[in-house]
Amino acid sequence: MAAIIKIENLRKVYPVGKERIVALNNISFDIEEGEICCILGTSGSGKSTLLNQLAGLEKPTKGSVTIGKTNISVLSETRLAKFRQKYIGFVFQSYNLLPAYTALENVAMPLMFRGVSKKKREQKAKELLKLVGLGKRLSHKPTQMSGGQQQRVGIARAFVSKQKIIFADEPTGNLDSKTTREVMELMVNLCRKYKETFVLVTHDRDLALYADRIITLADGEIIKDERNQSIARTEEQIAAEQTAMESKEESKNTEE
Amino acid sequence: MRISDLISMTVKNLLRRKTRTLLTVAGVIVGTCSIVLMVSLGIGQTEALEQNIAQMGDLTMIQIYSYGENAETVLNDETMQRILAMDGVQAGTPFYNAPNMELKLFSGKKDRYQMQLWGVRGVYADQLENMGFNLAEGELLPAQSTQGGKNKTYQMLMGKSMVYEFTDTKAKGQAAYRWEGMLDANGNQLPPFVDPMKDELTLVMEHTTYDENGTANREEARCEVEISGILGSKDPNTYDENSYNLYMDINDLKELYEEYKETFDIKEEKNKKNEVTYNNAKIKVSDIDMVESIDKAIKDMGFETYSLNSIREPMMEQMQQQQLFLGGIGGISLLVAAIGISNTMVMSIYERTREIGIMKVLGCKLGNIRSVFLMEAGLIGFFGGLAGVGISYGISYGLNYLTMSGGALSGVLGSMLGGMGGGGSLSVIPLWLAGAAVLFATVIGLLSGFSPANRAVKISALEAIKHE
Ligand SMILES: Nc1ncnc2c1ncn2[C@@H]1O[C@H](COP(=O)(O)OP(=O)(O)OP(=O)(O)O)[C@@H](O)[C@H]1O
Ligand SMILES: [Mg+2]
Repeated sequence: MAAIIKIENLRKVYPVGKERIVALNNISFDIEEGEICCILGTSGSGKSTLLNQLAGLEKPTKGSVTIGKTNISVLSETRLAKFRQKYIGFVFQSYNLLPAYTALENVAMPLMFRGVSKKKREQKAKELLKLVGLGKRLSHKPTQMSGGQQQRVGIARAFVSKQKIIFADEPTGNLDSKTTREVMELMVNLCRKYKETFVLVTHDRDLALYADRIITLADGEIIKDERNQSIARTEEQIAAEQTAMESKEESKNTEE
Repeated sequence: MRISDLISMTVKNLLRRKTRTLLTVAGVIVGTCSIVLMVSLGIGQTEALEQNIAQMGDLTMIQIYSYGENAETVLNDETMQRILAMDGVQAGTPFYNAPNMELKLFSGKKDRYQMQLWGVRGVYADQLENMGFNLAEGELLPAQSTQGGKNKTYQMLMGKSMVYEFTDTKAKGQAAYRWEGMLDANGNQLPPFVDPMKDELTLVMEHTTYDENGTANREEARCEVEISGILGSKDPNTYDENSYNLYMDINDLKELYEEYKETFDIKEEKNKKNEVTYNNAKIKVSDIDMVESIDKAIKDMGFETYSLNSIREPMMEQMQQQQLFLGGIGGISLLVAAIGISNTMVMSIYERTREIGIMKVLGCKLGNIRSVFLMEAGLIGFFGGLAGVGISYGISYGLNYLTMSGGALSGVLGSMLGGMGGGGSLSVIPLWLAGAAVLFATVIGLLSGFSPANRAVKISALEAIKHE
């Protein structure tokens, strides 16, 4: 498969006072299209910093990040906004829903920024919300939902516009272990379903097991880059998982 | 983003913080009201002044004077034609005075009623209608009085009030006079002794010479005369400057003067060029806006001019300055409102930093973020302006009501604000002022929102997401 993200000699240095903190030191690797890639590491190892460079939220000190054919490290703010609108979806640790808007409006927002009509985007958002099991919570505001529910809204928002790449920084950081599993499975399955590339940042080894590939960071450098053998699954297994998920959603919908 | 989405997002944001939005709008309302009311007072004053000046006479009249013998340009028929040919000059006539001519009008049996004719003025008869001469009775002068020669009947226009100048030579004391508004014993108005439109009149030329002993020698000659019309307004309460004037056709008057000189054998040293010149003339301009330029053109010919417009201009200028000053005072409060809008926008951007960051990360274009904040500020200005204008109309109505109907405030406010008393409103809000005020408030809102909106655009998405 072709590499969708190319990272070349990436370096990020933060000047703090007189000191210079090297958060990323000369990192190079490729992420392939459709890959579920986990960036693993202890606190302070530079995971978030790496993700921010990949998503173009921050400019690297040196090196480049190329997504598709575009070197995003040199794009202007305006061009980046357009680029993100087209290709990139986010799931945050702290959900980052807009508090004044309902679940439906939150999910529909990326489509609104693209200029999709209200009717069309709400139909799409409704579809996604049903898929994450929140078909009955369309008009709820974020404060009226639990953390897990909010994160599922966040996931629906990330996937609503069929982005090529989804970035997630500790998406389950605020959730209990049962909800964590549900949310992880949801994201992984959606990625498989829509054939999207997924970059997950976590410090939790167990979560890394959901990924195809695990890149381990320490002090801003890659110390390990491995294929995840435990989940080298066959196509049949994937199909089975998907049907299982869908039936689960339906049962959840009837519960609610 | 679609415009409809931008608008609904903007409105939603404004409604989210109702109290703060309302307070900011209130600031704009106060600012708009103060500007609109201040300017409306100025306009009211200007209108009152305009009315007063208009009552003083016709604003489209220009008087022309020619002084000094050696002036390069003299006022004669030739220069007069040049002036009449100017663009925008509707009509005009010089005033010809025959010097040293003693004239009297006699009427009644045995010349019982007599009147001295002072200052009969010769005018271009064909111009009078376009000059706007008002007739109380009869007709204006026929263009050229009938046949020439000795036995000609002269035509004359007489002012309404001049008719009372006839005196009764048979009566003594007060009884010899009549004046306008004079009452008899029963309280009825007394008419003049003579009705010049009906009674027979005689024009009497007189000449007095003195011999060596200083004895006066009076000669007289008579000719026929008719009054073609009485000048003056039909409305007794309206002043008309022609009520006290006597006019003849200019050529008739010249002819009469020649006859006078011939009759009494008067030798007069002719001026060098042997031509008739006039001291003054009057023209009417078709459009008030052209008065100034025509006035200037005539001055450039070397004449002196006087028009009501020339006193109106400096008065209007002064008024405009006053209005500017009043508007400026109002402007200060709108400035304060602008600072209020800016403050509100900065506050709301601070509150919404995280939200702006999320929007950016989700791919909202920078231009859209700027638009949302600019529109919020603009809407605050717009609604503030709209409400301000509405309230101004209310206050304006109230002020006018209190001052006009002889209410408690009429004296106090009237004198305080220099109201002219007579008709007209104290405060006038024309449509253009209302429109301009709303527009101005909106622009002020947009301007106040400009820097905060740019600040919102510059927020770093990453920083904003970390922001709590
Ligand atoms: N804006 C910043 N300014 C200065 N130093 C920073 C900045 N952001 C990150 N760092 C430093 O860079 C290093 C990597 O930080 P990063 O946030 O990437 O860690 P992380 O792996 O995401 O940790 P965690 O698991 O706790 O989120 C840390 O030493 C941190 O102090
Ligand atoms: Mg982190």
